Amino acid sequence: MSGETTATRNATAPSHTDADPTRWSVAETAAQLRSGRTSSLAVTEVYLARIAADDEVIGAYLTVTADVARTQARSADARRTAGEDGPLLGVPYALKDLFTTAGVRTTAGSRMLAAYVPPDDSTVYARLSAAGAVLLGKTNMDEFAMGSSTENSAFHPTANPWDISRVPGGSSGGSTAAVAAGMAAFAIGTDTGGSIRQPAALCGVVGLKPTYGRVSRRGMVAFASSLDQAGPITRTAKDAAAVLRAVAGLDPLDATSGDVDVPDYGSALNGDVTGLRLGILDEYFTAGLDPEVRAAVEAAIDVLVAAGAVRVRVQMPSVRYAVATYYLIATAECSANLARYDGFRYGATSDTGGVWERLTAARSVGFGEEVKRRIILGTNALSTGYFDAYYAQATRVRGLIRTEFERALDACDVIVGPTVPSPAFRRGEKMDDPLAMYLNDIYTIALNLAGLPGASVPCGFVAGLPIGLQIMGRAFDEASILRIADAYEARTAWSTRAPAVPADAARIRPPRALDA
Amino acid sequence: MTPTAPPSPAFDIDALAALARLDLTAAERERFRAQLGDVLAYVAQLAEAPVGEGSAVGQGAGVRLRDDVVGPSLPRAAALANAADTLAGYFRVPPMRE
Repeated sequence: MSGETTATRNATAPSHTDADPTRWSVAETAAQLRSGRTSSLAVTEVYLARIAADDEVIGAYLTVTADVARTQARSADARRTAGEDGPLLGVPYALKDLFTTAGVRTTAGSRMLAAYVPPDDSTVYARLSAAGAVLLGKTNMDEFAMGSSTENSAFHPTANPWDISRVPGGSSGGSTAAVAAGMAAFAIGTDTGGSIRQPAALCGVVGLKPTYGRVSRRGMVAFASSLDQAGPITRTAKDAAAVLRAVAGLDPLDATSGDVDVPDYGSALNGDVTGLRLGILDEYFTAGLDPEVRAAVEAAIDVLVAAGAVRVRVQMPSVRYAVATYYLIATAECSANLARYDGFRYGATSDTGGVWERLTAARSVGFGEEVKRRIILGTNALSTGYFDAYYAQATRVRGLIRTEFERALDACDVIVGPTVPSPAFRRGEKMDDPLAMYLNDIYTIALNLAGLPGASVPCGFVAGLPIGLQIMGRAFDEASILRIADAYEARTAWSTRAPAVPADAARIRPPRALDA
Repeated sequence: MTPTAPPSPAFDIDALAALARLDLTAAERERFRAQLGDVLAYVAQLAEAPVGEGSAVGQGAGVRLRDDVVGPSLPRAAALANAADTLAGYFRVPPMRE
């Protein structure tokens, strides 16, 4: 097979059989439920058992919502018996713990919100519930989505299912690990600078960051509001299409959600890439790219070209400024957004001293180190005397990056390249060097600044660890991205591989205590 | 507009922590001082970006406002459910001045 660059340590051959529901795609799960051979409740029980068996080693979940899952599964089965059908009806999934769920604690991976039980549902959760999907639990994440390894969770780290000594990526690392390890049929993540695509690449699953405004941010705990966007994490492009269709669309309660029709993405997945122009970005194939990752990504592009797509060289010289721009804009917005945590209305509290002492104490205890680091960076960027040189200049560079993306996407239909410069790193490896951690997002960050959609799809293994092909497209044209991803999947077999979670491995997290 | 040269990466970590309402431990203060210095030195490269032709993109671009009409809102009891302390339907906080 083209793109086969290395050995496949840990990989079991296609473990994907009718007998194991935890390896079914969303589409296969829905087909099994439709056929009447099994029920949502039965599939849900298999997933809950898998989580009970494996999640102490993987640590994908912060909260397992077994009771909610059984109730929703019974309801889905009843709806199906009554004649209803739908692509997500009765399908079990995992939700990043950044989305509010009424009555189920929502922590954002932070001590600040360790006991926070939201009063209402996020739009994403409400739409998935309406579609009949079954919530298995809330997944681990870097605190307030700030991180690229899920090591910044206040509760415990998450292991990469392909090598448990390594990180799953982040910040949606719990969601991608859950899907990779067969602990959810799909998951929802969020992507502010790569937090869906980077962990999807490192865990060997599909992750789609939609256009800014495509999916409502209502009820998503805010990090950087001009960049945050929710999207699906799945095993196939077809599944990503089904999940996106369920959650996308205008929401009157999110002033930035786009009033743009949501197409039937599934019908766009016709396998035909003839004549599609693939933009190859010079700036994404430079010295920092691991040679084996580069070889795998180039082999993936060869597969698409062999299928009829056409290579077009494009240049975007300003993407070299993307990481610097991001760490001014995102931190500035973070410092403003996180000012709301005052220790009085919700979240961590302190009961000594006056107003300012209590507020300061609650924030100092409630926030972890990376969050404090970013709040201080953002405070600096917005402070008198620095604003124009830092924040204002960053917004101008952001404009430049967006203009370059628009020009590049006039010359091609999508831009393709690596999602990550190298495969998953070891836990602890980059924790003392924030700048090195930030640079892991070097290929994903520019897209968020431009507000455009992009996906990562598995495109091979380097030293037994999965990596991803990134496909970036025009505003609100997720359909082209999904079509190419699906066509690529149809011509390769990466998405059928599954990691084997070692049974005798050490626990990554304490036994569960706070389940809802 | 042409930006001025970036300020020196030197910064007052204590003043920033006070503005952000954070008490840093001694260890955090030392680590942050070095790490933030690295990050600020890295972002200083933005000064050289050729921004002449592009327009700035900030938060608020493309915001669509809804009609200014009364709609359903969160019930008071739900809004107060996570509060540290309440009194007669309000959030209760210590006096600003004793």
